[in-house]
Formats: sequence, C-alpha cells, structure tokens
Amino acid sequence: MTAADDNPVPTRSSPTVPLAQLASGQRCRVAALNVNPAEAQLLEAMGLTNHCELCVCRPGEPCIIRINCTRLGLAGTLARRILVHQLFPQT
Amino acid sequence: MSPVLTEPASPGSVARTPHDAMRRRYALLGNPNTGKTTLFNRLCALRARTANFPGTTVETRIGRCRAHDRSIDVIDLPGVYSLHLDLPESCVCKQYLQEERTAERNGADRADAVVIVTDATNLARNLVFVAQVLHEGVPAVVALNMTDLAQRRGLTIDAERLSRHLGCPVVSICARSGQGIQDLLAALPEAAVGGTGVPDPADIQASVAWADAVVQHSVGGASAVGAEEDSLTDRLDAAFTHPVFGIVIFAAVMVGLFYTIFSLAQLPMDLIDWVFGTLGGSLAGLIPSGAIHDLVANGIVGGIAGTIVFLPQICLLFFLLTLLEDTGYLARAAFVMDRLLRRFGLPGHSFVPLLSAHACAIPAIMSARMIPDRRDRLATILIAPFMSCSARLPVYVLLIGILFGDQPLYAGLAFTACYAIGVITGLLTAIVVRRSLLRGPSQPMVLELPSYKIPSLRTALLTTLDRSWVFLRKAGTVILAICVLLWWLSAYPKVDPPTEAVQLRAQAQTVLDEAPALAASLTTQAERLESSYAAEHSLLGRLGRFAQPVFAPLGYDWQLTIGVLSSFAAREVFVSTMAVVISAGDDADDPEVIGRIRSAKRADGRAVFTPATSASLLIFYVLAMQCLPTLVVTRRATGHWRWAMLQLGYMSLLAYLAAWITYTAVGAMGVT
Repeated sequence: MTAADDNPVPTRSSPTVPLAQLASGQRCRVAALNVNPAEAQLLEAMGLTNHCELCVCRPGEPCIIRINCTRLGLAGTLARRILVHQLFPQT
Repeated sequence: MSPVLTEPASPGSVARTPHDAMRRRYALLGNPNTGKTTLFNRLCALRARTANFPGTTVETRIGRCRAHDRSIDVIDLPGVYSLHLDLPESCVCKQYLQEERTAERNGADRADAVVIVTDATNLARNLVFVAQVLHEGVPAVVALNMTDLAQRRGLTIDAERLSRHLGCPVVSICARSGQGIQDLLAALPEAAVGGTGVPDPADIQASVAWADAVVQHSVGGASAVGAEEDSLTDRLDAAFTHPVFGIVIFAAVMVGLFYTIFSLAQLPMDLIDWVFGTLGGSLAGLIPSGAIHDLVANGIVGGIAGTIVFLPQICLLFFLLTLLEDTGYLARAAFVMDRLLRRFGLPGHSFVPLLSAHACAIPAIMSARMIPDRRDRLATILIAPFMSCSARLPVYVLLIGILFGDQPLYAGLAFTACYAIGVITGLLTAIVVRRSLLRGPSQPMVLELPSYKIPSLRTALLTTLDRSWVFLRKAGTVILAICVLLWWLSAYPKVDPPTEAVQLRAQAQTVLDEAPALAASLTTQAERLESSYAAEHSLLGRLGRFAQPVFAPLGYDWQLTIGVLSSFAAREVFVSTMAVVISAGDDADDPEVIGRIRSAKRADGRAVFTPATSASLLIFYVLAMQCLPTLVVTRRATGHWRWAMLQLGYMSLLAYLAAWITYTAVGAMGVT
C-alpha cells in the first residue's frame, strides 16, 4: 500500500527537486536521501525510504508529509536534503 | 519492487514452535505511538514499577497481571522505530531479544515471549518492525492495536490471514477501551517463532516491499482512509506549527499549564508543610528531650517534609504533560520551539523541561527523558537549574527587599533581571557544552506526528503515579538522608546558652507575674540569642568561620558564609538561617524582619548587608545550584555522578565568579 493508492490516478514523474520546494497537496517519490547515515537510518525506520511515495501536507518549517497513514514533521534543513520526483496526474 | 506472495498457508503448515504452558514473562515491543504503554497500563494498572534496564539509563516498566489463573510478568520496553538504530533504546530492545533468543536456543527453563504492538492504521510501516523482531527468532504474538480507529477509517484487517503470513498469532485489540485484551491474554501461550519468508531486515527496500505485499493481502478498504479527518488534521497542524500563531497558541498553552500547576500545587504544598509541622510538634511532645527527640522531630520529620513538599508540583506537571502529549499537540509544539532553541544547540523538545524548571528543576530534569537525542537531553539537564525556580523566590524577596525596599520600580526590574540572567546564562551554557563536552552534529528534528485524540485520563493518572513513585523511591531516600545530615551539622554539638540569654530568661522569670507581656518578649529575645549562639557554635557554624576566607572576596562575613553553606542543600534555607544567625526571627515576609536583617552589623560595626554584598549574594543565588535534591535527580537522570558533579562545580564556580565581579563592580562605583 502506498500513498498513491489513496488516489489511484496514473502519474508521470519529473526531474528531482528538494522536498522542501513542493507545495501543499503535491505527491512525490523519494529519489535520494542526501543525509548522513544515522539520519538516513532513522528516516527509513520511520517509513521515509528511497522510492517511497509521499504527499506534502504542509510545506515550510516544519515540512509535514504523509506516507500512507503516517504523518511526519521534518525540519526544513532536512526537507531540503531529500530529493524527490514530483508526481503529476497524467492528462 | 514487489515480492510475489502466495495465498497464505494454512495454520498447520506454518513453521511454529508453540510454547508450553510455563510461559510467564512477556515483553511489549513496538514503534512509538502504537499504544504500547496504554496496553501495559491496561494489563498491569498499578501493579507496575519503573526501573532502569541493567547497565543503562533507559527506563523500562515492569508489571504483573493475571492470565489463566497464573501471574505473568510484563515488561514495557521503550518504543523504537528500528532495532538497528544507534540509539540506547534500540540497543536495549535488541539486547533483550538476543538474551531471549539465547535462552530459547539453550532450552532454558525460562518461558518468555514478546508481544509486538502494532498500529492497525499504519500497518505497512509497523510490519517492517515486526519483520525485524521475528527475524531475531523469539516467540512472538502480534497485538493489532487501534483497530477501532482503523474501522472508522474504513480499513478491514484479516487478522487470521495476517497471522498466517507472519507465522505467529495476531490479535486485534483496542488498548484504550480494553477490547480484545482477554483474547490477547488467551493467545499468549500460543506465541510462536514466526518469520518464515520474512526478508533480511538489513535490506530495507525488500522489507518495505514485503510489508506492502502483506498489507495488500491482509487489509481491505485501504482507499477509505478518511479524507475528512485528514483535512481537519491538516488545518490543526497548519495552526499549531504556524510561525506566528503557533507561538501564540504555544504560549497560551504553557501559561495555562503553569498557572494550573502554580495555583493548584500551592494548597497541597501548604498542607504538607502544616501536616509535617504539626507532626513534628506532636512528636516533640511525645518523645523526651534529647538527641532522639531532636533527630525525629527536626531531622527525620523535616527531611521527609523536605522531600514530599515537591510532590504536588511533580504530580501536576506529569499529569498535565501526559494529557497534553496524549492529545498529539506536544509533537507539533516541539517544532515551534525548535526554530528558537536550535540557535543554542537545543532541540524544541527542551522547551517544556526548561519552562517547568521555573517551577522546580526536579520535575524539569525528570521530564527531560522525553528528549530523544542523548546530547540534547544531557545539555537540557545541565542547564535546567539555571532557570529561577520557586525556591529562589524567598531569597530574591529578601535581597531585593534589602536593595530596593523603597523603590518598587527598581525592585520589579531586579526581579525580571534575575529571571533573565538565569535564562541567558543557561542558553549560553548550552552553546558552550554543545560545542565542547557534548560536541556532535545536531540532529535536525524529525518527528512522527501522532493523530489528534482525546487524552486518556487513566494513562495520565498511572503515569503520574509512576513518576511520583520513582521520585520518592530513588530521589526521596537520598534527599531524606541529606536533610538529616545537614540538620545534624547545624544542630550539633549542643552548647550551653550564652550568659546574656540566661540573664534575659532570669529577668523574664522575675517579671512574669507583674508584666507577662514583657516576660514573653524577654523570653523571645533569649530564644533568639540561644538560636544564634547555637548556630554559630554548631559544626556548620564552625565550618562557616573556617570557610569565611573563601567567601571574603565576595564581601561575606562569617554569618553570610553560614547562610551560604547551610543553604547548600536547599537555597531557600538561606532566609531562615540568616534570620536565626543574626537574631532576627524566621519570618522573611515580615517587613520588620527584612528591616532587622538589613540593619544587622558585623563584629567591626559595619553592615552585614551592604548594597555590594546584597547584589553579590543575589547574583550568587541566581546562578548557584544550592539544591542537593536537584543534584540527586541529575545523577539519576544521567546515570552518572560525573554529570551531577560537573553541574554542581560549573554552577558554583560561575556563581562565585559572577558574585565577585558584581561585588567588585558595585564597590568600584562607590556604592558601599
């Protein structure tokens, strides 16, 4: 089950951008976690893994995201170091 | 990547190792926010205690409950996101599982298992953790908690099918309401070593894919996750974490919290004072005069009172904080304060402990356990006593009254400055320790934001009882011992009353019939002289004279030195000590008393409290630790005396230097 299953609309991916640049309601797929190993381990344990899909609930400081039913708050510095592919509904 | 899962095997074909009926100890494991502690409280209620996991400062709760006419032990291990994180909590869980596995493989007589508590509304992520635990090869039962919430969100979970995938029993429960608890207890003897087909936990991608596949096979109606509830959560999150409104809301919540603590705690604190005062008086009447009389009436009763008087604040703080945490708000509030405190090397989590330290550093240090990062937690504990607690107030009242008794504006500014100096020094200290002793990268904040919900009164009450008991058992015993020791130092050796006091008593006896009021006044004067003389000649008094040269650069004579030394255990003792030592009575709130203290003279005729010494003392008490209970609690919270000693040494040295600078500067300005 992924976040995209909540709204099973076909998507096409985009070039990578920092998670912090996404607006509220936008969906994305994690492309890279540019963080140190300890931070990466914690993020992965909390469900924020490479290739997982997520939805931005609130951009800014903190950046609040939703992965499945989990809501995570991320410090802005962290959100800027997580690269994502933005997902658009296909037209 | 999505693994292909075949239709779940039948129960009989899954490799299970059912345990016999001897099973008697169960550990609760799970991610944070899965309701693990709520389940523990539901199972054990009051039959629980908190203890440090052997060799660590990580707390675990151990309780007992009955199942199938058998008493079983339940261990509430700390909530962790993974067994493989470099965190003390993860290490404790992993160590526990390894010991269990070793015992299991050796066929030990122990018959233990783990209960993996999962959040039914967030099953995919929880299953990754379940896979890690199952991979350890210990018998397990999975408790699928919050099934009521999952149902409201339209999720239907096939527990039997899930059980076949995992290879161990899966029981749907709602720990908050108690639903399914009996089913869980009934399933415990069936705990099995599952994990057949579970991927290697080191491969996170494979684990996630496996968990997703298991969820797809076991959960229906995933698309029914409530959009309406999410939008409400979104709106609440937007308000609570807003750069401006978030701070306003947080300030309002904190003002309400501490107003409640201050206003509600005062009555029981006064009551405790009164009860122990009465008890001490009654015991004094029952026991014949002598050493045992003094020890019981003053030492032991005084020591117990000095311990229990902290309880109302501790109970209220933990009760309200637990309620607040249970609502889901505190996680949001931590982000609001993170922006501010991060500049000083502290996380947003530190704010609540630091704010509560303005009431009392003891509950503040105890509540610092909520800070996840060890360095952040230690830094917060080290600076918490810099915040001006309520015990400093009597000292501030006395010294500011002496300095600015007739100038309310300056007095108000001085009060504000005392609080500000404490906060600023604490924050600057945080920068220093985070860049030296506790150097290391500051982890950017990442927190799971739990669902908003109505807090559980039961959980709050049980947590409050638990924290209060921890305080009484661990800190209280040491505090009592220290109080008795300090009483002994200040009360012994007994000396004969001074000649002047004897004469006053004789005069009082002479005029007793003709002028009883005069006789009472003379007796009071004699008692004051005797107290002062006894204080001067007690071991503490002698120590004061011996140590006076150390405090001479700060402008303190032997009387002030006794005051400083006697208040080493509790700073508020300074006021009553000064009242006794300089024969002024013991009511510092009485303006007449302040006037008498202000006009007290040294042996050479100079005033004891000059503006320079008063200002110096004020700064000393703003910065000095002067609270042994805090020291004891720091030792317990950090697990080592070295942190407590560092805190004491650093604060004392800083207070001494600041007091010396103040005394010198005020003296240099010509104010004497």
